[in-house]
Amino acid sequence: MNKERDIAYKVRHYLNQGTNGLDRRTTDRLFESRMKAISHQQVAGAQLSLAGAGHIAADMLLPHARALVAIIGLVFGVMGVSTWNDFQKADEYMEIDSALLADDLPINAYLDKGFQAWLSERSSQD
Amino acid sequence: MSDFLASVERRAYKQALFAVRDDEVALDIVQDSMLKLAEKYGNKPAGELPMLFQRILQNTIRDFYRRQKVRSMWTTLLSAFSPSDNEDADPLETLEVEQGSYSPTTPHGSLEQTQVLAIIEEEIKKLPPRQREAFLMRYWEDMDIAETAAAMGCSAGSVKTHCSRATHSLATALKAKGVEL
Repeated sequence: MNKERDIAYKVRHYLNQGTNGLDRRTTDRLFESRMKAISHQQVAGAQLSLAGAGHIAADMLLPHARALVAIIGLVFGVMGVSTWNDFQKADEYMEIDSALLADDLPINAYLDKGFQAWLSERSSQD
Repeated sequence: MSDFLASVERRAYKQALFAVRDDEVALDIVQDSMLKLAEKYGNKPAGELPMLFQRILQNTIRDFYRRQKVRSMWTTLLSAFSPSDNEDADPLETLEVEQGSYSPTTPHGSLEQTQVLAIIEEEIKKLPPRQREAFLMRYWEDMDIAETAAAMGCSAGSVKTHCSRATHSLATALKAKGVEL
């Protein structure tokens, strides 16, 4: 292990010499790349400060995006079913109302207890 | 961030050069890696930057390999259908330029050191990619085994094996060329 490390560090010594001997064009390109990277980092920082809470919220919510989409879908589904039921009930009430209105018997007859008793008696006899 | 990039940029360039053997591509890879690090991990603590940068650098090198593989596949396919229009071109001309583009230049070093350096660099290029990555991260970038394993996405045991094999291969190859370290 020590021998391995000894060889490795000698190789490293030579490699470091190699990096010191890079030509001007290469070092200039590396410098430009570094400046470009730094400028991009600053842009990213400025965006964060401008967006403020929005960015922080996005960072917190994005990892749970899948769960959020599922929850939103579920809420919309429940709302849809509820609305559909309301329409169904409205249709049923409309049918009852129209039947009552179209009948010869006045509506008040259904409220008369004697008439209810007569109806039940009549139906049992049949 | 600037200090960190300044401290690693030359070694990163050399690492990329050992892998892709083209100085323009190596410079592009280093630039892409620097940009990714600054954009995505600009707010990370300084202690995490070496491992993150190495991971980005190695991934960018691998992306280059993938693109090159796809490109060469298409080139082979297309060249099979189209006749060669530069049959007079001398392939040695291209070869000469490519060799010159990544040959080491050490204007201040002694001739012997320059020769040893050239041999070492050549042998490092010949190492299998994973061994080269592990060796350079561990011994040139001074990263510990855990950091190297995290950057390479493998176990600590694999890092040790890669490093050991790389060092052994280098020592054997250098000895065969008459270089005693």
